[in-house]
Amino acid sequence: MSTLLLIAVACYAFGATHAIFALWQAPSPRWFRLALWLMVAGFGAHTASVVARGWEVARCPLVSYQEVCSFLGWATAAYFLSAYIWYRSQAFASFAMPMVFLFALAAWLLPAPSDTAAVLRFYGQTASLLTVHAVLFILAYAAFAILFVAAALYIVQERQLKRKRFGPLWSRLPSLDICDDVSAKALVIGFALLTLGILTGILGSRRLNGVYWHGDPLEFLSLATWLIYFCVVHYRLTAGWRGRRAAWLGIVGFAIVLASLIGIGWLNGLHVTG
Amino acid sequence: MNVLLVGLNHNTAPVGARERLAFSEARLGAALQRLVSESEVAEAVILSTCNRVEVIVVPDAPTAQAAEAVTRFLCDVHDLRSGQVRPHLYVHQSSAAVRHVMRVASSLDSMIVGESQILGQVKRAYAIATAAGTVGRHLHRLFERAFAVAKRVRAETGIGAHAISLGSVSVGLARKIFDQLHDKSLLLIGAGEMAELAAKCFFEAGIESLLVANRTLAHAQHLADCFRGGGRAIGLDELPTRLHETDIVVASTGATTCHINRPMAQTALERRRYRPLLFFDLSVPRTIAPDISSLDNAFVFDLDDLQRVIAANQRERRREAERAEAIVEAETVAFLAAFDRLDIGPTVAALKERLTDICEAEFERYRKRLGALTPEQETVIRNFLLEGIVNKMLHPLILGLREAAQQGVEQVDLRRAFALDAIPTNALADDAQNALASVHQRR
Repeated sequence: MSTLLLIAVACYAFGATHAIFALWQAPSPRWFRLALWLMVAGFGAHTASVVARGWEVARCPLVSYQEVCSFLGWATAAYFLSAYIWYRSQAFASFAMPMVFLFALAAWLLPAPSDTAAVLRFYGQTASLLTVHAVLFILAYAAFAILFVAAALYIVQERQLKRKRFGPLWSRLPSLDICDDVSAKALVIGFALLTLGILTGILGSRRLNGVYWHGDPLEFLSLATWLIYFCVVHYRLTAGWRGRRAAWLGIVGFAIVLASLIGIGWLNGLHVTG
Repeated sequence: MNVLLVGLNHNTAPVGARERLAFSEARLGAALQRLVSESEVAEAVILSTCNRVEVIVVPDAPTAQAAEAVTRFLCDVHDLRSGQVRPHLYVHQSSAAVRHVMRVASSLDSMIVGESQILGQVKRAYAIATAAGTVGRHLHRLFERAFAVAKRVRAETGIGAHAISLGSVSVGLARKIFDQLHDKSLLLIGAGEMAELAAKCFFEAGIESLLVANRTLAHAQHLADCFRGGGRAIGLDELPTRLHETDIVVASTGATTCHINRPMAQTALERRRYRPLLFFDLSVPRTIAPDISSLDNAFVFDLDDLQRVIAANQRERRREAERAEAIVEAETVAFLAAFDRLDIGPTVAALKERLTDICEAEFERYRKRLGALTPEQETVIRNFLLEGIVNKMLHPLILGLREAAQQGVEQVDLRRAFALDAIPTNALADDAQNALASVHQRR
């Protein structure tokens, strides 16, 4: 698994480097194509590494913290490639590459799982339901990562348009429409998955200890995440909120998502990972 | 050539100062006549576009005095203090003024170098001044030449080949917001040439739906009919109720009040559920309130903003413009030389001097034979008889010269016949004496 993951990280690294260079100078189409194909290759290797890990341990590879990070990177890459196929926006692709790279790198740098058997023992009967819960959450988080990239690009682009100062990035930023559309789609996907994830979590919790709410810090963080994204969905539907305000909420929401992600690894309460 | 140009443009003055000094077309004729009657100015043309206000005059007074008079006129006519105007003004005289007029007409001084609208605007300014009766033969020749130079520049350089117009720059900005334009709709405020050019650019970029708002509905409908699928014409009073239907607004009217203010835009945004609304204000004075820009999802670009966007493209364009500058420079030199040759003033003066010399020489020659003359008689002969003869002889010659100059023909023959060039009169006389002497000797 680690070799495949390393190949994926190396491929993603090229994409990320290309994107960082693109901040200063418009890359030639040839470099972009190379970066894109390496991202595809990286995604292939990453998929293989996730499958190989699952095969190796004969369960869904989402028990250790390393597995969580790796799966998050994989899901982000999957969304990223779908977004590119959908929009064909070179600009958006360039800025999403570093995000994929960072998750995959984190997975590779994290220590190998210590004792996943203990984790599975801890969850016992509810392990399979809680695995579904984890998959839904990670897929939602990956969608929010994409939303974050789109929202950040939106804010930068909107700022330049409003202030009428057109920096070096100007010509390479995607249009506001694309940023807003990606945000909206990522929001719908992310919010739906998050809601399902929370519901399965509540169910799992009931089965595990007979209570719906434990007061675990991650439960609070998830509730906050859900409320933030609920606000965005709500205001988008009712008040026609879009653009800058929605983008800022998307960024705040992702900050909480990041806090939750760190919490999964370091807050050893109810959510135990290997 | 004695010509003077006082003005300001987008390089020397912000849009605020330009809109204060702008002349509406309706007021231009009266302003020209006032300038000519009040100031020491013989001829005048005023060029007032969004990006420049320039007064081109042939002064009667010394240049500095005339420049002062024109500046004062600009202040008075717009009720401005001289301190508000003076810092933005530039003054060009004689050859510099000629060069400037040619550069402006050739679109070398434009905000977007190579744009094609300026030539039409210069022609219009010239036509208005001609109608107002403030164009004489100097400005006539200057402008006719400038139009020819502009045509030559366009034909011989690539300056207009891939020119970026305000329209195409606007389309680029619209794409930064909307990505796809084919499902968007465009609203034009004003049905003039600017509006038409902008609409063309947007239609080429894929826009299919058009609304034209104008004071005169017929003009609006006429413009709307020019585009495929046809647009709809609306009156300016319908703007508040129809604004939300459109995604892109291009305003290019000559009106002096804001048509679209912040509350109006706010209402429109609410009605369109905050889908982005993009305004391009190509008019001076501005038609769209600048503070609309502070509303979420509303974007306003005025002429100055567009200038910033195109600054980079302009750099590219300048390379081609360098060739155009060379053409303008050569044409300026040629024009000034031809003008000096065609200027009949020096010829007339030399001719008068030559004829007076001949008459006086003949008088002196036969003076003794006349016997004693009273001082009174002598004064009559010198001041009336001789001068009368000179003037009678000169008159048809001047008429001929003037006519020839108006047709652009240089009067070389006359200068040669009277030996007006280079050789001083007495030297000529000596030459003639020597020639006669040599003829006698040979005999």
